[in-house]
Amino acid sequence: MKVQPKLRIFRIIVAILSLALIILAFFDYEGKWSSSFFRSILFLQFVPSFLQFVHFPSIFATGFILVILLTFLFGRVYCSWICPLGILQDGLRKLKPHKRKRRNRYQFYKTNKWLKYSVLTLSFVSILFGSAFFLRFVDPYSLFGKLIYQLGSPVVIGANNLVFNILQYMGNYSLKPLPYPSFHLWAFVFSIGVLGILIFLVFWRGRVYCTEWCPVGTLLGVVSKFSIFKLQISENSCTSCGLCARNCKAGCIETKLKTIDFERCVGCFNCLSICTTQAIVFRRRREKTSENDLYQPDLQRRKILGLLIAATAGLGLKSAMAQTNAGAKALLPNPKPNPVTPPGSLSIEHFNNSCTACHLCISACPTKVLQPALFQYGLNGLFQPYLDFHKNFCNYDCVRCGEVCPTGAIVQLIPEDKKLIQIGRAHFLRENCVVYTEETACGACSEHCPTKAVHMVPYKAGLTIPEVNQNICVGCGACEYACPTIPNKAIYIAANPVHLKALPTEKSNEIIEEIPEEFPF
Amino acid sequence: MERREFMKRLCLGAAGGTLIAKGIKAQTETLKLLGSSFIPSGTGYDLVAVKGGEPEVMFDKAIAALGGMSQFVKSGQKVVLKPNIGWDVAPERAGNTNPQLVSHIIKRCLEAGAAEVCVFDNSCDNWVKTYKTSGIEEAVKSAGGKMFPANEERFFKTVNVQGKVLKTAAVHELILNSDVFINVPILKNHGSTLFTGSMKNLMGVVWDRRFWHRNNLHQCIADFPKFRKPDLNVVDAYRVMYRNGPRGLSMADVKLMKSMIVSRDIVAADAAAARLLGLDPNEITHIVMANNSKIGTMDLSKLSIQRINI
Repeated sequence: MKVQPKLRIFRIIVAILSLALIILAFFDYEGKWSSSFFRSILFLQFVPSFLQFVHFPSIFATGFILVILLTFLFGRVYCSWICPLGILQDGLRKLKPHKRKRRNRYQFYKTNKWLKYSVLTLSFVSILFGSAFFLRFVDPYSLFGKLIYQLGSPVVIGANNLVFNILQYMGNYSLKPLPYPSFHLWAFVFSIGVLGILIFLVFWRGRVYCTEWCPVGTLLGVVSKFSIFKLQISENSCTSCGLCARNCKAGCIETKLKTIDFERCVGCFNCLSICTTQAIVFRRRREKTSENDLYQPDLQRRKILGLLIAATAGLGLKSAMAQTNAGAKALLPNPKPNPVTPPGSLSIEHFNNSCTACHLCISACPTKVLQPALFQYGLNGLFQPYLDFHKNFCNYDCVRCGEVCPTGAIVQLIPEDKKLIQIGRAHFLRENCVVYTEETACGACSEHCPTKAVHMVPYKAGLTIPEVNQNICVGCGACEYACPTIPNKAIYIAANPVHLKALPTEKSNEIIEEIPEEFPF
Repeated sequence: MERREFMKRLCLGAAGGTLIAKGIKAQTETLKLLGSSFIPSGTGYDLVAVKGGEPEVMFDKAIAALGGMSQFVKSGQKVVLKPNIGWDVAPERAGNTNPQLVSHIIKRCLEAGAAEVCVFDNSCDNWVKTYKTSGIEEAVKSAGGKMFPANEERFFKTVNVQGKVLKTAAVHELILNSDVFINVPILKNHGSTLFTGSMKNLMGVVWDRRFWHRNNLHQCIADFPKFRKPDLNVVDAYRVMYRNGPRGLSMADVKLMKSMIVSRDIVAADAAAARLLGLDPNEITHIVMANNSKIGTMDLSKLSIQRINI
């Protein structure tokens, strides 16, 4: 039996791999990796997978079920092996300055059940009432996404550009310079805040976020109560030295009572390898280590479990209702202009319901038209991506955001389908147009239009002026981006709160051969 | 390391990266002092028009008629090639300059002894996608040229143009520090300027095109060559987008014309190209404006033209 102490090493290897792959996904600026790569590495992320399952139940959205099964077998191993925010916290702990060479000094602390069950219940209720709003602040994966995009990517892009400059100086152009992400004060402040709080908590007592706040952790904690394999202290071998408790980042080992609060255990297995008397073992629940039965029924917990099951059932009901109502629901006119949502997001409602604002699409968007919103959607859509046509426009052939989205908020499309999705419509304001005000040629909007929905028609002598055919407009925003007028644009996109279909344009794959017989000069 | 110290370092690290990048940029900018070199005219032709061949063959014939590549590129010179790489469309859509032609010109420049041949365009669509989809990035690399980015303002430097409207412009540094400037536009229909050719192609060497668009576009196009005329203009009319330009919708907008116009005179090249597209140069405002301010000659009857049929 020498396998158990090695579980820690095995955990570290898997954790580093999990974290590295997710970080790589966030730094794939050139779109090198396929959609299936993104789908595979994010398959097990609990909240994205769960949200996707709620909206589009399929085998590809069953990652969270697998995680629940895994937890049912081994406890909350998800938290130390798979969760990027958990692994990040373990990494942050390494930055803590050591005093007097005494490593990891954690201690047992009492858990606040009301707090964590409230967070969990609120998460469910939030989804039930049609919003992923609350999840954006508690889901570990999307918190990690925001951190890595807001704080990590400027550093990586800076390093890339530094190397580019050095190579360029030496006459080598093999690297491509990358644009820095646009600065969004509140998203940045939020991310700095989250990182600050995490560092404080991690330095103070370890995985406090995971044991006291994280809704995924709490939910898996409830499941882990029934785990087949559990960490247990064998009373005969244990000398109550407290070494394990001092190394328990979840603060769940109580040395005096020789008990482990397995509901909070994040499955790091540090205690297994640190125990000098091998008093801690990882084994089947039924094998009792002492005369005390580790399983004590907890009536309060049963109530909560009941509530959770009811909530899940409610969610299923809600998604079923939404599917039948989608076509018939008429949206009331909104005096506040709606933000344009990415192609594949179906409608603002669907997008608000299922996006956790992990920022993966924002970092993958090749044109950087996707930007985190502040109040463009109202408070409900805080930090969710929207298309900012002052930054850029949506590339006609690109379907990248749908390829990477792990929650199903942006459905994956093939380019031919995407080219017919109308996310908004162009509106032309003649009184703002250069051709009208200056009576000089322009046509920047029509130039950029990929469908010629914006085309030029004869105006005064020698001039042409834009005209819009909204039926074939896809709302990509190229016209709005290119329009040179200041301070306002002469052409802009008004969002379709529910995406519509654009009419196809005439296309052909044949070229007419017409070599001139004589030169016309 | 104290906690405070750690946070400080975290912030400094991020800021430091950017500063170092800027410092290196500043150094390279001081290296620019080269103007255009003196190029003697080799033969009597002002303009060569070729038709009926593949891009490579037509280019070789045209250059031979102008006295060979050595008339334009001397040993050890730095050459910049400016094709049209505006749109994220495949070569068959004729939205961008023919990659075969770009690759061939690079080879000829290197054979003539060019130290390096750089290629760029300030693309309209996303530059990374456009460089790739146009086939030009690959063509340039396989021919031994260097593909240069033009996606950030730091690659551009403000210069005096002294035009009627365009007083200054931020111009790509490659134009400023290359010895030879070869303009390789593709001939296309254009919704507002009616056609796009050599002069219109130069909108891709500046950073702020919007200024041109809102301040008399035709005049800005005609003003820019006052700052720098290309040493050679090669108008690609192999595949020609005759409608729905400059981006086009499909190959239904493209005609296979297998033609090419080559001239040192940017105005003459555009006048001939416009005629090839069935337009009267007198109706294209920027050609008339450039002609009137003596940038070049639009009256083709006054020029000696070599016409080649393959």
